[in-house]
Amino acid sequence: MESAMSNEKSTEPLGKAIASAQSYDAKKMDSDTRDAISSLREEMHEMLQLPSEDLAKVDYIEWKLDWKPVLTSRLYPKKI
Amino acid sequence: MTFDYKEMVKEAIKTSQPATRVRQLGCHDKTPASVSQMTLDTTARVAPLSRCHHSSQASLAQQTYTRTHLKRFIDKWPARDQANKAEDGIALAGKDSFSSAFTAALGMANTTNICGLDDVLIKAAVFEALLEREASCQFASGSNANLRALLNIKESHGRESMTVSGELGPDNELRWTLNLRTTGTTWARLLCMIFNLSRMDALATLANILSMSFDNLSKLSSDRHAVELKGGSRPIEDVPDSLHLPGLPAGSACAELMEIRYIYGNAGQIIGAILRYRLNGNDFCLPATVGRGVLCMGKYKPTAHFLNQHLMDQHPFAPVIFFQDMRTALAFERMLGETQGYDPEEFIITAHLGTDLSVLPWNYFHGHEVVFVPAPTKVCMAMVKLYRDYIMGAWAQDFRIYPGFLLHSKPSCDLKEHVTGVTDAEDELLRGAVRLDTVERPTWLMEQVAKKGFSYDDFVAWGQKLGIFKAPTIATHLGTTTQPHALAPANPALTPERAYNLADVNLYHILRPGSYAVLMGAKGAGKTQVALSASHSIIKGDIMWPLFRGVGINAGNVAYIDAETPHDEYCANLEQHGLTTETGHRFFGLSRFGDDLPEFCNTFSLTDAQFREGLFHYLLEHKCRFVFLDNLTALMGDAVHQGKAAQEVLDWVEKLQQCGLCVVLVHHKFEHEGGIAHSDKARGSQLFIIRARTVIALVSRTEILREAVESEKVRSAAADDGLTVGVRFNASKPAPVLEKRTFWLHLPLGASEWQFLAATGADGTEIPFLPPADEPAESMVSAYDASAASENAGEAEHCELSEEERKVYEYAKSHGEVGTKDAKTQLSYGDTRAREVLQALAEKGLLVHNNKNGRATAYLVNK
Repeated sequence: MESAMSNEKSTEPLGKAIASAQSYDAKKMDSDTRDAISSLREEMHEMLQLPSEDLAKVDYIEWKLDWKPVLTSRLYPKKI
Repeated sequence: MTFDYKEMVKEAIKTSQPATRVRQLGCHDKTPASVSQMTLDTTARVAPLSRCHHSSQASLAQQTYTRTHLKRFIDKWPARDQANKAEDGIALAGKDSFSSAFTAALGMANTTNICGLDDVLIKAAVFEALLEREASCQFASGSNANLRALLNIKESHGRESMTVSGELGPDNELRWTLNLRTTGTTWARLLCMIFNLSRMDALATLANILSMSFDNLSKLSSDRHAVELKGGSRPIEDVPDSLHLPGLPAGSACAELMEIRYIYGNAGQIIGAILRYRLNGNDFCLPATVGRGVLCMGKYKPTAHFLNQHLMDQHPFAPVIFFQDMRTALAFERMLGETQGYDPEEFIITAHLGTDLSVLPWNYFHGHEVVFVPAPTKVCMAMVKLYRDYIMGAWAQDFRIYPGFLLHSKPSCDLKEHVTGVTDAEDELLRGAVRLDTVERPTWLMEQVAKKGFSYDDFVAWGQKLGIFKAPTIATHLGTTTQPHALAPANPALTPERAYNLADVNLYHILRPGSYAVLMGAKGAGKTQVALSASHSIIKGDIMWPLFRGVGINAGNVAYIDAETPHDEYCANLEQHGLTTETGHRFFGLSRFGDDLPEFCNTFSLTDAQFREGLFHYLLEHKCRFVFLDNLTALMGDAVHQGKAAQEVLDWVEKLQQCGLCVVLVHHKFEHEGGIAHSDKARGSQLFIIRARTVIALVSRTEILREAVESEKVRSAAADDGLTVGVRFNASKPAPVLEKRTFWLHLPLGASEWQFLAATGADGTEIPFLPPADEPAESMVSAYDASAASENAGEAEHCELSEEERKVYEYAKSHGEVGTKDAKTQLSYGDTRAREVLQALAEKGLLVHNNKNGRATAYLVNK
């Protein structure tokens, strides 16, 4: 209600707002994206710290990065 | 924070099913909140200070990193944006600023930082202080993993190992150690060291790590700020009370926060603020922005706002007093607050930050009557046109401008007293300026401001009257596309055929209508004297310049544009060369320092298109066939070195040539270090020389004495009083015979006629040259001045004199008498030969003995 009454309500398309909200430089990576990828890398790094006996039990790991940044990690055990 | 993979493995093995974990990212990272619609979503999050739970911090503290981990953050300091120019504003007359005395009288505080913070060095220092503060804050809260990585770098590659460690002290100050040897206290310095970055690039990199941007400090944007309801609660203020600015001179390194003035959104929420800081007694304002419930600087792109814009919406009929300088608006509001408060029904005070008017929300002015109070600089006053366009474009009811200045800070002197060095118009402005701190009734002042407001047209006319804005007459000149009438075709006698013999050369081989000549010389060589004597010679029509006669016809008028000589000296020069009596008839002189100059002379610069246009019309209007531009350095400034500017001036010269004018460019020689002039090269762009038909290089007295000119007569004249000069023709297309020849002349102090000393060829050896006698040739006499011919008829024998006799007789005529010693000096002969020459002249009846003996012996001219 409040936002509807406001004369500051934007009429710009949403896509444009996303593009302009974070970065002035189109060539540079958006900082949200950069931080998300950085987090993903930390996850992989953390997984690789597992002891080898644990790693031997893992079939594969699936990481999924959704927007707005939500990270899903799914670990598939080896079928014995 | 990462998932616990050990736990996940256990779970997966136990259940034989995939183990899944989900989390939202960005919880620990201070990614900038969007200031557009996206903010609506992000505001639903928990408050920023409660967001971080650092249970994992202790275990991660042991983790080590390499530089590779952080390399992606390395960034470059942004290049400077082109400053906004008021090109679309009202055209200014003269320079773009008031006189330095005027600016000094108003004080730096009133005349700088009008749109925010002008000084980019201070702005960068403010940003650096903010970065260091923010970095320590983020590190302390554990919210930035990259800062943690920065202080835990451990690399080992043989000799190139690197270890960084560091911590925050109890005073929240960073202390880092690099390779157990180097220590430091700032984040930027650490980045400089480990990545080998310049200071500015290190700041850009640190900003990148912190998700901050220098542009966010003051570059306003038009992105709308969405409503952040937050239950109406006030944002947390994260704004430093004092900024310790690094890199500034000691004693001037701390900016104190004086005032926070909130900007309210339409729902009554705070959406930003104007921060007024004070550094060394001078105030400047910076924008602060609310993002994620925190009021801060530098983190988010600041939105352009008007002060009290919400009041403008709430009171659509209230008049608006629009201050160009935010600080004046704030000072005025403080005064109102101290007295009786603020009734926005009566009027609303507004102002804005930044120079980019296009990003401001102008629609707030819809329906309001606006009175604009300009800031005290010419550039600001010129921008009134842009403000008018934006405000009236937003359907404001009315736009008026207060014709004067209101000052928020104390000026440096009493403005009611006379300030030396200011023009009359500036004096009037200073006397009319109002210091806000001396006003007892602010509402009365506002009534006066509203009452005295001029309409836009009246304001422009007022500015034109004071010489601030350009008068419209020039604009109409420029608007005309039709060529003004060119001069009537020149008399064919003024464009003589090529001369291959010295005897055939006349004045118009050198100064030829339809072409341009360059007269160059070192400083003090006598350029002005040579040029003025040429003007005199043209006007008289038949006298020598310097050794070549006119053709005895009215060659047209002469214009002399002097941009260097002080006015009294200029007048004395005209007197010396007999030009004063011709002024306004045949001679049209414009001296930069003269009074009553035409309007186009405001800049007096050939680089100014309007000056060129104005002068073009002036020359044609006064039927000037010849124009001397004395000199290019004074008329073009530094632009004389620029090929582009030279080309523009030469294009204009070409236009004059096409109209039948002869243009003489008086110019400086190129001087080496130590002031030694180059014989052929001109100062600045060589285009002027390349395209000239005639190039005359003057050899100055200094050069004569230094270069040991062969002729004894020239050397001795150079050592005497008066002006001795060598006129060397470096190029002479219409009279090739002159090329590489030098004619040595002497002008006694105060005299107007040159004395011929000698002529030398390209190799410096003397060549036989007899200047024509200083009388009109018979053919010219009949055409021009019969009375002059009759006067000279008695001197017919003069033509039959030998060269020596002629020299001595000339000397006697110019001095009234001649002694043996004088004759010796003139001829460079011994006593005997000098006496013989004198006796021969006496026998011919041209000289008579003065009947005195010994040293007093002399011969007088027989009249």
